Amino acid sequence: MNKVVVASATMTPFTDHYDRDIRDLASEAIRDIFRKTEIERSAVDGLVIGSMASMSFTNQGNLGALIASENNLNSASFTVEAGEASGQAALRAAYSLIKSGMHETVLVLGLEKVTDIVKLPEILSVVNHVNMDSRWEADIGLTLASSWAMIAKSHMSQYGITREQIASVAVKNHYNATFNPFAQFKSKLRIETILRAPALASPLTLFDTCAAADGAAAVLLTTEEKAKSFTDQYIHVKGTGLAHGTLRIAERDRLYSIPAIKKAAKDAYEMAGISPSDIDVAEVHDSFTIAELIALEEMGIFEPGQSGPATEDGRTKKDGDRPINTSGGMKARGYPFGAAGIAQVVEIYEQLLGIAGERQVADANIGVTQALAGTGGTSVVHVFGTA
Amino acid sequence: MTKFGYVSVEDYVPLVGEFAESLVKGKIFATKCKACGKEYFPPREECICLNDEMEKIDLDTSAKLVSYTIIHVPPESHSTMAPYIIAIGEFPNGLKTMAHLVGVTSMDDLKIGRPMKLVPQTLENERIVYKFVPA
Ligand SMILES: [Zn+2]
Repeated sequence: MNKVVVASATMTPFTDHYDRDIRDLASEAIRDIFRKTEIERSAVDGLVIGSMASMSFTNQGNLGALIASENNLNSASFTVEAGEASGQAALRAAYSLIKSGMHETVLVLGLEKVTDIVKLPEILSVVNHVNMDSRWEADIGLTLASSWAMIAKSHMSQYGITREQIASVAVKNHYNATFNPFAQFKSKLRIETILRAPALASPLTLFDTCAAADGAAAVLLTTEEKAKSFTDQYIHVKGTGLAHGTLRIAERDRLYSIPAIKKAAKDAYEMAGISPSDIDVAEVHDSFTIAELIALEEMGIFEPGQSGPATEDGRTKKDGDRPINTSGGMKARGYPFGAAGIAQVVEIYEQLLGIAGERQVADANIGVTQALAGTGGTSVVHVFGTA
Repeated sequence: MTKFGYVSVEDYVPLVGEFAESLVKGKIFATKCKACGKEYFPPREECICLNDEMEKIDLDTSAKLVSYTIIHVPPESHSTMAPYIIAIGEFPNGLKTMAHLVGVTSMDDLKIGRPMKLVPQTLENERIVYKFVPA
């Protein structure tokens, strides 16, 4: 069977690109791939785009045809949507295209242009209706912040973790981002600043979540055999898992756990033949601080209830013993929805090749990415390795 | 004709239309599968057992408070309403749903396990929804 590898990776800065449209962002990422990789454009026979809501945000659909033609790609091109997990879902689709033998080389592009809508409440409306049950939950004015707030309260009462431990996720991710030149926020954040910020939905505040951002990220997937013909800078895609939970949060048995993450991680680990203790570095979904804590527990990196204390103790910092979101995560690197899942792969690519500069984790051989739509509608996990 | 929901645009869907008409009359219905007996609230027109013969049944609207949150930053559709409380309530049949919780007068009304009741509430612009109130 073909071994699938990531043979090139890049991203635009994630920020409010007020002067650039969705086409500019896509072209910047794609052109950078071809400038720095010794591969002909004609060798790319597939383009899979992960984008969450280009219709709602920019009034543009069918990005596959648009982006492929604007970049002179004669490839089979289409978009994958799985809410906030769209980028990682696109990666899974591209992986299977190569694994099946149908395509040899597929460009995976994560893309989102959000800030054409300038009013936060209007952005929230789009995000809610994409990631929640539109008729029965989004309609009543539920927000992802309020959903995560209920999950945070449930997790706090189940395991006795503190509000400060939840906030320490954001402090840690901002610290990590100070070493990332592509990050949206390169400034440190203090616990007190988070706790005293304006309330979003009690107990969460404005600094428990991300700011609006635009951006694109791209990775080149191909077979190991093909990659060897043009580069020695590649990492292996060793496992993939995708699972869903109920879209309606009210229907979940427990608010403090997210079974979709556990299932996606289990499938990806089994395929890769690894266990959680093998993971050297991971990029996980931290659209809200509490989301990262729960992801780490469902992924088996910490026992249930232990990720809060571990984060507070600094164990998940880039220089801790379980480094998480060395890029700064969605919180500080920036979170243009569909682009974020591919930016996670860009970070793991650099970590496993040992080219992550000041963010470099020692002896990184196994890296994992985890994406989530809403509060557990869909989760996608990928395992990468140096061999 | 009264429409269901704050912003829902689905008034042409028969089930949603009937649900709104029923709310106007003060009745809240669930649906029940005629083959396997599974109940649904919010109502559905087809069962996961693959049968699609469903009957409408009166929902026992007494519920217990499972969780709540106070929303300070609302989406565009609810911009004039914040802050507001959204709660998850569990009905005697074990089903759970989410709705605004109104009529709260003290912190006692926000205790987990607090009895509530699901009631119809008419909005402006000929719209209607269901909300929880402390019971
Ligand atoms: Zn049935």
